[in-house]
Amino acid sequence: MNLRKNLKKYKHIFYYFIPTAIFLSITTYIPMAQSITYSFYNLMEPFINIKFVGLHNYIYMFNRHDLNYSLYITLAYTIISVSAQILLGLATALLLNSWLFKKRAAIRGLFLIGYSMPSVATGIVFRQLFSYGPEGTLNNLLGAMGFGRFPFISDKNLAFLTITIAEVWKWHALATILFLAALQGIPKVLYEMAEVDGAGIIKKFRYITLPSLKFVLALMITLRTTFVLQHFDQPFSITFGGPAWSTTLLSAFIYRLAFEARDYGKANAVGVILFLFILIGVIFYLFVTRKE
Amino acid sequence: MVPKKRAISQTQTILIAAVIVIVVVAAVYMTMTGPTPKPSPSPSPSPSPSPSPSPSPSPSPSPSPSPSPSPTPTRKKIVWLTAFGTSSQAAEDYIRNYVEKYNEEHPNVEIVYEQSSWSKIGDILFTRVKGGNPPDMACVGSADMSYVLSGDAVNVDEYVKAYPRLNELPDLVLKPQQWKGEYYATPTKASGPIVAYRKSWLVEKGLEPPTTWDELVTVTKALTEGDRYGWTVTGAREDTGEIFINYVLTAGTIYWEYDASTGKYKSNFDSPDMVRALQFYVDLYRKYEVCPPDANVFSGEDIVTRFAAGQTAFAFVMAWDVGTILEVAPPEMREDIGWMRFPMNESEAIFHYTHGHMFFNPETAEEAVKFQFKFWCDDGLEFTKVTAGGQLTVMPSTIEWGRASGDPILTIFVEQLPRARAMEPIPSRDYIELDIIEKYVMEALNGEITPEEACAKIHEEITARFEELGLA
Amino acid sequence: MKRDLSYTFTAYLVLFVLIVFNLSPIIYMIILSFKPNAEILRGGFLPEQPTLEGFISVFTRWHMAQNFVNSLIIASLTCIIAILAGIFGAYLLGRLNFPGKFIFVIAIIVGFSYPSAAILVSVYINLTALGLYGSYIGQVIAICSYELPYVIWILKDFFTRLPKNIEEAAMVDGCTHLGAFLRVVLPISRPAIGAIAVLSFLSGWRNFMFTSILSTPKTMPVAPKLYHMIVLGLNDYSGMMAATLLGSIPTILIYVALQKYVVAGLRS
Repeated sequence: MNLRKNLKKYKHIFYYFIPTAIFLSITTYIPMAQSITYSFYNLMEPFINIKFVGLHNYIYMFNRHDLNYSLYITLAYTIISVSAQILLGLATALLLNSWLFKKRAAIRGLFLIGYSMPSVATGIVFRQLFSYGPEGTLNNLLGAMGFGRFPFISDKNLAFLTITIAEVWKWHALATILFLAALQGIPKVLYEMAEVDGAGIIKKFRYITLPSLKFVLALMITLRTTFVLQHFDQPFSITFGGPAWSTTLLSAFIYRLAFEARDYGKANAVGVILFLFILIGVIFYLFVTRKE
Repeated sequence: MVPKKRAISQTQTILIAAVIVIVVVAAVYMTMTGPTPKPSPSPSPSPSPSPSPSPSPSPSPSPSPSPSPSPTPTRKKIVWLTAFGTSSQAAEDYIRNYVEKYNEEHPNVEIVYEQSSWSKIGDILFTRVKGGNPPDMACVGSADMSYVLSGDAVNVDEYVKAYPRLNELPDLVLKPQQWKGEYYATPTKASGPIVAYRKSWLVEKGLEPPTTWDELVTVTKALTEGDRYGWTVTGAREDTGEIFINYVLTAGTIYWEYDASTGKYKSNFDSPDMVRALQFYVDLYRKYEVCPPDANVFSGEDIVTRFAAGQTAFAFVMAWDVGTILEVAPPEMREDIGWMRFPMNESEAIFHYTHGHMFFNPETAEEAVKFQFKFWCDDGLEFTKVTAGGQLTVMPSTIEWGRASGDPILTIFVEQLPRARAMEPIPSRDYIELDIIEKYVMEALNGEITPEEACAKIHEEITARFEELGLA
Repeated sequence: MKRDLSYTFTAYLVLFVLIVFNLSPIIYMIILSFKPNAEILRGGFLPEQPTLEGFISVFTRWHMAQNFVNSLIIASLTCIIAILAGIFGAYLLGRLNFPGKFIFVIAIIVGFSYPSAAILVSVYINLTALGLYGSYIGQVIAICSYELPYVIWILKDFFTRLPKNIEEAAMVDGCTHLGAFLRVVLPISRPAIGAIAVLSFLSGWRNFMFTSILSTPKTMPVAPKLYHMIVLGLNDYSGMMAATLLGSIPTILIYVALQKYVVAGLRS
């Protein structure tokens, strides 16, 4: 009876709920459920004798050293680039926020160019710039200056550095914009009062700026982590997975498993593992925002 | 307050449960019908892993109505999905005109030429076959036996054997089209490797083109100085397997042994010759250092571009890259390009890549097979003339023509043919070649493991895969 | 006075370094697209003989006109579907209160956190089974798998901030709830919906992972085509750079021109 009463009271909700549910189910939730289901089957070429294999795919994947390495690389990549993005973004925002710059919007627009380009496009540009061959711009420059040529894309460690730098380059503008918007929301009065009290730059930053940014900071960290963990386009366009698959991030690993090795079961297993990592970030975000 | 809370939680629970149930049921339903779509639910879950080639595949694809004849029962529509014709406008024009003429001369069939690209054709074919709308005949990069195992491919043994001139074709192109002694594909052509080199660079140092591995090391070492390099290897996906196999064959072995009568496979990665081949390959990059430092990420295209940019002395490529080299090299360089065979040691076997066409519709298979033989064998010489480089359709007439032409490239290919070996068909080929062999070869190339370890690991994983498929 | 000067100078210097860091790849991309291939291989900075051969080869050798059209179609379809689904979903989450709402908030978040690569596999299998491989709508459905939850997430905050009793006011005048939504709430929300339209259009234009797998050469949009150009590049560096430039121009223009809306949209 309570159910019926509630249903009647909220019946108008269904007008909104049903189209949403249909759209979202078709595009998102059904593939998601399927993906989790497939990870428990041995769905691989040549697609005969498909049966339920339980955790076989997961166990197999954990024993492969290249998956473990890919996991390690992905986590390192995420942590380093998210920290760098946020720090650089914050620094830029602080700089732009100062009273010196009137034409903030124009400068902000300049920074947005890299951010707005498709990831494949920036990947191609970076690949061209960092290439070792005679067409590689950066190497030509370094060579002309006497430093010699560096294998930015073909050496395991340098390749990792390259994709990390590319990632920070592309995405720090987002951090800049958000921090700038948040900074502009801090009333100037607070700073003036602090100056009257004799506070220096560092004290002002610590006690006024930072607390106001706390929310945006938390948001940025979790959102960026969620998305960077899934990044595929740009790093893949730069290194194609790197020398001997050493810069293959987890998404690229899934892509490789599914469409080159044609092993959909294992690919989805890795996907579920990646999803669990992302969930950690999501739960952290929910925890932080629940207080608001 | 309290009763209201209880009401909310009850509604909440029911609503959520309903939604979850709906989504899960839909997902499970789609899962069951997803990867094994309507026409062929039978072959997938029921039979044992051992492949059952002949009649059982035929009934299942036929319920799919799409490729079967257009309204008039007298004219059969045959869809030909291929990527031939993408390399040049001349090739495409040739194919279109040929198909038009064939249709005029054979009023009972209508060949429909569908052009794809080499990078996508595998995917397109796969999705159409599994989606219930397969083409009648399709070019497979290398006869894809996964379709045989899954029952999608039609057994065309009797039609192939009905071709009167079958015995003129070399085993090289015929063996890869068979599975357990029965034909599942028709042959197209044989494409072997060739080495391009800068004549002036060798003349400068007073060197002759190398013919053995030792000579190769000496010559490339002498040519490597400054920003010039002697040789190059590949370290990128997909191309490494094709290039590396030449080293393997020249060392006297091949990736796997295949017993045609039993259909069983055995990996050869436990042989010392295999380790020797990989060791040489790795040494060229790591020990002798005659390759550019970033050769460990080179693809087949990179070999061509770096050679054309004047960075390397030799370019070891497959036949289809010959046209590209000639096109991409600057005009002043073209006269300086010489051609030679890959230096071969004792066993003198070289890899040839052979395409095949497979068939997916039993109603049109007979006519389709006839067309393929006519195009590639009876009239193969004409198509050879249109395509650049040394890709030969291998009827005796073509080989004679190549020999008589005096063209340095064609001469090399013609001479190589008696010593050529092709890879015999294997299911799960992508997984084995890309995910196992290439992966460890690349790691050895980067110095992360030794060639012995790499071969041992490859052997272990390939054998496991064969066992999984019931082919060991 | 002196302190102020050196402070100003440092600030400008730092800004200059940042701008150079940010823009140099792009500037170089533009320069390279006007250089002939032979010069690119030789090195150097500015083209000695600027040409348009890169741009010409984009259309003659690489046949990218079809790809641009495909991108336009896919991006527009994504935009339309995102708006249609987005307004209902965002309104549901942003404004209406009903038991069990929290679960749906979680569901939306989970929706855009599930790795796209794994959803790609399922979508690929589904489209294959349905025969939609290579179609425009197939690619759009795939893109919407992460775009819809994202759009709903962004838009819901906007709906929350609308004045409180709009629907009731409209319903007093005799509309149903749905009618109030359609006639009153939506027209007010046009700027936000505009922002969503822009964001989803650009997202559809830029997508690479889904479209490269799910398209045939005829229906391939610009982004995967760029990737294929690297793979088949063959020394046509100026063509590649020109194609990259052309493929990025719509996104750059829209983003830079409409920064305000983008920022407002991201500020949730």
